[in-house]
Amino acid sequence: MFSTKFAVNSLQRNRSTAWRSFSKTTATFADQYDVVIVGGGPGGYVAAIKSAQLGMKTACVEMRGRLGGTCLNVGCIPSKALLQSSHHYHDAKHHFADHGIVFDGDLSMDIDKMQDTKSKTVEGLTGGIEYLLKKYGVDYVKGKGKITGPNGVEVALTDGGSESLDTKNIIIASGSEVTPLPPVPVDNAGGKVVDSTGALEIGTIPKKMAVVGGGVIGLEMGSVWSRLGAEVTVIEFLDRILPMNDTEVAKKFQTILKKQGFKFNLKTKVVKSVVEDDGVVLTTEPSKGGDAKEEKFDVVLVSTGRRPYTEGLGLEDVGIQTDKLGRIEVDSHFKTAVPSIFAIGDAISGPMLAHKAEEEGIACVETIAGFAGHVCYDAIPGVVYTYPEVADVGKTEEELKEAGIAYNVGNFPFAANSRARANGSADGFVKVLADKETDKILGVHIIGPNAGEMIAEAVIAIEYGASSEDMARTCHAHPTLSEAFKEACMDTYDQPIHF
Amino acid sequence: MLARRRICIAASTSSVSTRLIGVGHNSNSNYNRLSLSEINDVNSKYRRQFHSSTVVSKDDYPVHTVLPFPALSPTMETGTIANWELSEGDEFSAGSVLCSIETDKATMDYEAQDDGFIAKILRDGPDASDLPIGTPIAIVVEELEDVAAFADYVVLEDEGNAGVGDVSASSADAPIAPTSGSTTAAPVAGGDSGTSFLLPSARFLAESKGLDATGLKGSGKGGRVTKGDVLAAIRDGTPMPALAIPTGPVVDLPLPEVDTYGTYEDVPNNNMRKIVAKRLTFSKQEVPCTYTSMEVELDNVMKLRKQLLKDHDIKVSVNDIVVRCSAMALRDVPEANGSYDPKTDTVKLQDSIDISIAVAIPNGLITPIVMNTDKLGLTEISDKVRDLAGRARDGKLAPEEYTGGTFCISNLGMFGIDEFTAIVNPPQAAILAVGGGVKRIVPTPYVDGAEEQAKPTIKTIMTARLSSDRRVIDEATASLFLLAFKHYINKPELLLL
Repeated sequence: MFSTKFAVNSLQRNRSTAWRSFSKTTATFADQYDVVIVGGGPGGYVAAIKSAQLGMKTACVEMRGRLGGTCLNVGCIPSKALLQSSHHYHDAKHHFADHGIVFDGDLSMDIDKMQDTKSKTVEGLTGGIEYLLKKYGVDYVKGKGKITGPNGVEVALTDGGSESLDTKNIIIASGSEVTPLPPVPVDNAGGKVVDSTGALEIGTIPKKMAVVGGGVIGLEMGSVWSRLGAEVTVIEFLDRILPMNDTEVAKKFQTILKKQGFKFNLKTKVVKSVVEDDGVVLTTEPSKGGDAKEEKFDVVLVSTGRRPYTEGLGLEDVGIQTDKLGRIEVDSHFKTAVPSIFAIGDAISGPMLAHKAEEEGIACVETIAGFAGHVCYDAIPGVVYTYPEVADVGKTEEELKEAGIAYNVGNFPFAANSRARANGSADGFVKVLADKETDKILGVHIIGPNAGEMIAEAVIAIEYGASSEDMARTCHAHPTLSEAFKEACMDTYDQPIHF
Repeated sequence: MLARRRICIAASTSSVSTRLIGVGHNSNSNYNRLSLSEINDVNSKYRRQFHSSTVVSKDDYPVHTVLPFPALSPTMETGTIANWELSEGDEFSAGSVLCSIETDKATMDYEAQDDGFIAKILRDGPDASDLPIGTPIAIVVEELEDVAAFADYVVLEDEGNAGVGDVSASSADAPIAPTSGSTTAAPVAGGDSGTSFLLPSARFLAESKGLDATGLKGSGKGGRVTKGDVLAAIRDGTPMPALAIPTGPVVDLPLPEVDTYGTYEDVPNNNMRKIVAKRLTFSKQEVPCTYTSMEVELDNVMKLRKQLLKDHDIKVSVNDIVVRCSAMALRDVPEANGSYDPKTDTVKLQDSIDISIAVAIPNGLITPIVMNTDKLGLTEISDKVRDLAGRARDGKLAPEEYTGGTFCISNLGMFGIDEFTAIVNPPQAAILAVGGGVKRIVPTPYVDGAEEQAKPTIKTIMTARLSSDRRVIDEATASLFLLAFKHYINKPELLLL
């Protein structure tokens, strides 16, 4: 007893001296870094490059073996590649005839080739990031990083051994992971119950696919396989899909997806799953409880959400708190409880979007460098890369109503847009919400082809505090899809011309 | 760490305004406008000019009174000093005529209210035309010695030009004239024109109202002025200067040689003509007029005139008889003696019959009134008309003698006019235009079954045309009036009844 206590005390004393000597920096290693970034995803590598551009000595620690994080490796990029391939196939199969393109026989899909192209895209981009880090002089440290103190990161190197990094500042950009759903445990290797990572690697087109969770990821992945011929059923706990989007938009989009062949089981929860040789049997119940139903699927995609990944970072040891959702608590300058440690991206609160992480990475690094880094959270767009795409920035109608803000609405359907009609794809509309008194644009919601590109204009409008009249008085090329945005703005403050 | 930093520009997205102050930041007023403080300050010399009260000397000047241009009639807004009866240094007493003032209607004398000496005449000759009411026209003092002090008195620049308010208006009111183009919502008491960038909608909004919003603090990114900022500025009354209309380079173009058909001369309208022009234009635009004609026979009237002259040596003109017949007709058809009030959209029937007679005078036209015409006999009418017309030509009519009236008669018979149409003078409801008597062959009525039809006769026919305000007099009433008129003038003995 006595000795243990004594040992503990001396350990604590030693620990404190150890800390003190660390901050004095007579480190055994190369020069002290200005910034070490734990995580090489969109938040991490962008922060690293910016940091180096600002003249700071930077290191970026990544354990995956490739840079780019979730986004580049198992998220945004591969899904967009698959979406593009599947879109081509679907278009060819169902719409080419409209354009006079005739081919003998039936069109078929070579999944292996599709996956191969996807992989090549991902490889090219991740390689490109590595090159960028080298170009700007960022030290890329391959391994799993752990914070050992306010100024130290210990990396368990992938190749073996470890490296201690002494640094003035640490930025945590460790990202997020899929939130598990207990009734439906994910087994990507088995290929039957998969998460988004596994869904990207599916080798054969499933006949029946269930998507548990009607959010962005589920709908996108569901779209891929639906286009390739799968019958996709979306099982969603709430009474609507896309919970973060505007209600009118979500409803209209659901109708569009239904036309594409999606099936929707809303207000439904999954209570059990049984993996069999040839598929998965899901037992579902109404969300509030009731009669159970069973249905068999070839593949089940679990996409009920993501949560911050901070495992093994050693946060508790340095005194950094996470909230009940696992998010690291930071102030408005991304500083944690420890003044020299910052956190950005999916690891902190806010929309889990790559571009949000990028903005935060840059702002954080600028703050460290002594400038006034700033992120305008009101002007962060969100995009669903289905077809048609869904994009939005700013407030939804519900948010405005709840806040008691009086607003005007302007609408313009793509059915009235010349370019959309000429392209033969005129589903969707643009909705603009503007303050009733000052006409300042508060929110823009688009369902339509290329919505993800079009939303950029709306983001600028919100950043600059523009009113809908300003956008309406800006010349837009004709014929383009962007004119729909202009006309929706005209409808907001006055009247449209083409509708 | 900082030593190795390359020079970077902060990529800040903060929206703190960093408006440049420099070009265009003009606090000097170009607008020839007096500031409120200048006007309201008791010691300010500007304030003094707007009064006609006696002031204790503040500057080097002894006690004096500034005479303002008087309003000699209720409708008078501007006028011209035709002639000063006195010169500087002259003494006058209460009742003496200081000057003669030409108004829209007549030339009248401006009489002094008190005794005094004219110290300085401020408006004379060409300076004395079209003066608004209240313009200072002279300085008067009570002591002869004080006259000399005003020898070099000069009217301050802004006086005559800065729209001086009515003398009848409260002296504490400071006139702040809005610039042209601004709406009533935007007070324009000299703001700043700055260098803020205006977003398109803000620019459209401000410029459409003729305002320059570049001096506002913008709430948009980088200090840009948004539509909301302009809306708020207008609502809160934030001063914004008027939009400076850029004047391009003045190009001195040589005037082309115009080969006109002969020479011409511009004749400026005098006051009377200007007023007549304004009122008749108003009449033509606002009054819906109908025209009804009647031919009447003047033979009996001519017989009556001859008889009066031969037997009783009384001269009565055809016009006098026309006036009396109209008065009788108005008595019989009182609906024709009305007036329309556009403010309340009502028709007022007048109590008395006051007929205005149109009289041509050297500088225009005037319509002196014969009051209570229906109660006057032919000779009384004759005398009155002669007197009024005479004085009208001399410009010596009192305002109440030509303002008002319920009916108007215009007679161009003496000029040989057969028939013509006159323009109604609101608020009167009708005007009767009579031409001259024309000898015509008139068929006699056909007698059924007579052996021989009577031969046609020659009669003197006069055309009377009534122009009436349709809002007051409908066609039936006009016809009735003309019937009554014809009834009397065809048989003038009926005027006895």
